[in-house]
Amino acid sequence: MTIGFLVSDIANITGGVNAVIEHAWGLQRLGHRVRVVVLGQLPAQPPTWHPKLTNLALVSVDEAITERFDVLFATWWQTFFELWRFESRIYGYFNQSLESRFHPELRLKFLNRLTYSLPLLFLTEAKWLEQFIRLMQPKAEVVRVQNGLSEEFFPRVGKPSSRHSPLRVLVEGPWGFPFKGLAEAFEILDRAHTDVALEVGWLTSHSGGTHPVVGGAPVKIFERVPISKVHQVFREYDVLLKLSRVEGVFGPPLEMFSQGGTAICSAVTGSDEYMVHGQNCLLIDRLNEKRAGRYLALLGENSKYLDQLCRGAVETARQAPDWSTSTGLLNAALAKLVANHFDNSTLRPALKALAMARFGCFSAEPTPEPSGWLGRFLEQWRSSSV
Amino acid sequence: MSLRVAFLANRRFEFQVPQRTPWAESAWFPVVDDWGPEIASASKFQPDVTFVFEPLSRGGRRVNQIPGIKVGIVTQQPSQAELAEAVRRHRTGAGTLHWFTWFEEPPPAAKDLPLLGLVAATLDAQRLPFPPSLDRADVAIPAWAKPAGLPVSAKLLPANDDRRNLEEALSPFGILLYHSEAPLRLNDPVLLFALGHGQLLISNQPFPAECGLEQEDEYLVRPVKEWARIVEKEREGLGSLRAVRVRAFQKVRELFDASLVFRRLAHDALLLRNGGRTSPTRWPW
Repeated sequence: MTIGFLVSDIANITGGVNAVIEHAWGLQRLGHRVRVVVLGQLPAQPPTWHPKLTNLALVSVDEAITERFDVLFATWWQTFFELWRFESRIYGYFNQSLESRFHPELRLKFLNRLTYSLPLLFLTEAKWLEQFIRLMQPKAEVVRVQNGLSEEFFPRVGKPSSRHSPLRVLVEGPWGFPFKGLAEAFEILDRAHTDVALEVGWLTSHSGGTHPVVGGAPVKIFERVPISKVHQVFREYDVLLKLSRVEGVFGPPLEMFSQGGTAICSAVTGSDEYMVHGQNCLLIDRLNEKRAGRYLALLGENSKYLDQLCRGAVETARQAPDWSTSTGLLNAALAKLVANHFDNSTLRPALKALAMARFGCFSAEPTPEPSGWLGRFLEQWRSSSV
Repeated sequence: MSLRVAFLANRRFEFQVPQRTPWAESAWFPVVDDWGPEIASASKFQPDVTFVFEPLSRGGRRVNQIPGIKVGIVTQQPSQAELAEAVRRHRTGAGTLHWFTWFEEPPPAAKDLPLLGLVAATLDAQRLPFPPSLDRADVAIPAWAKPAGLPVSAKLLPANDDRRNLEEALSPFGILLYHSEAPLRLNDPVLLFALGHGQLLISNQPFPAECGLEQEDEYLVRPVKEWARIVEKEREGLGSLRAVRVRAFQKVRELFDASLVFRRLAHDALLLRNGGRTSPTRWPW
């Protein structure tokens, strides 16, 4: 099969793009012809943050337009509106989060909701997203494949490493996105520092020039670390502190688990996929976010409990599928669809119509007027697909 | 499964107590006026952790004979006398509860009580219908949340202390309107029921951000004068707000499911039982 993935940005490090690369590379390895279609500027050289990018065909829009895809996946939600430009037998959507939650703007939220308005082939990694999609599009094909944990980049340790004092805490995430909860994490660490000795690091794809200080000492920053080196950073720390408010399924806590550490994380969507409070990590709801300080003090004082959590975490990572397993499941699902002659190419005009919706058809209240063209269009599709 | 958890709560808290707890053997002891028989039954159950609703009441102060860790769940503002008595008992070592949870940031007068955490609300999500009825578009509004000059036709929900009646009264609807002079509070059960049923909640006020509910993704905030237009659009059945309703349905299960919340509390109550303040700078929770 010729399989395509539409990406808007390949240059920057994100967990979402990492999953795209792993699936693309894995499908290629299984004998498929895979194209990663870069909607923005095609880089002259493959970015170096992910070694597998050098083995993938990154193609421009102009080149991809000449292709006839068997399966073409949108990825980041805005790439949904580009699907119509390409010919494909199956139009799919690799949906890893409810991305309207990233945007405060009502118009963007509304546009994001449009991406669930057609019965595409949906691929997702999260149980909650699978449920969301099935409730949004009861007749759509939905394939859920758990994201893998790369054995190559995150070789699992057999047991937690011996603990050190002070407690070593790693914060992870890019600066500049309030829903990542980074400012809150550093504030909690700064306050906790008066109570427990801490050594703090920050793993980030983008620090934005920020230099956080905890307890008067600068935080050690690991910025734009190639994925092949990230596990070395995790191994330097005992605890990952991650207080983001929006996730599909957390990736970094599982990566931390694979390197023998535990995590204190927000009880956010998808956290229930593999994180169990008191078994492999500590979870906090937002109302009790400051409790992280108390947990840090506890872990700093109680090395036995810290070790218990780390042992649970190592076991969780041991049970997580490798990417080859995950992509194998995706491959099997695609093969089954093809064997059943699944074809949703007739959606292409509808995809084009929705793409046009982006351009200036909104009032202050960004919902469609029933009598307007978008309202009539949605009504037609809703009555035929739900 | 070795953990044993008891819930000592009046029947009106029925929907806040988990019926099923895969993580523990649990039992609910519904108390009436005299807590005696239920306290005796709970004692025989030999719980590791007991959650006591209305812990500052006269009955709640009598739970000392129950073995294990006792956690008081404070769900509404106690009277000054009740709070003063609880603090006095705790200071003198006569308190019977190891921990308290509070429905919002506790008042300064409660600062000496051992706070396990904030529990704004819980809802036993197992009792809610699945799948949600996302195509319903009839409109309800609680009698206590109705603005003057309501611009849309809506069924008035009478005040009702019985959660079961409230849930039944609410369930036929698809949209809940709610007017408030202040930010919304989770301790009004109609709000959590509506969200948990996948109803479209439209209010003139947001929830405080720390509640974790996401404005515009899980409920809508609009001036009253715009309510009619939003309701009309939802009634047209275009589905543009279906995502909001699905996420509301999911979020209640993610954040407020009683089984999830009490699992974390039970763990922490045991883990932190010897972890009183060890430093004057340590946060109390």
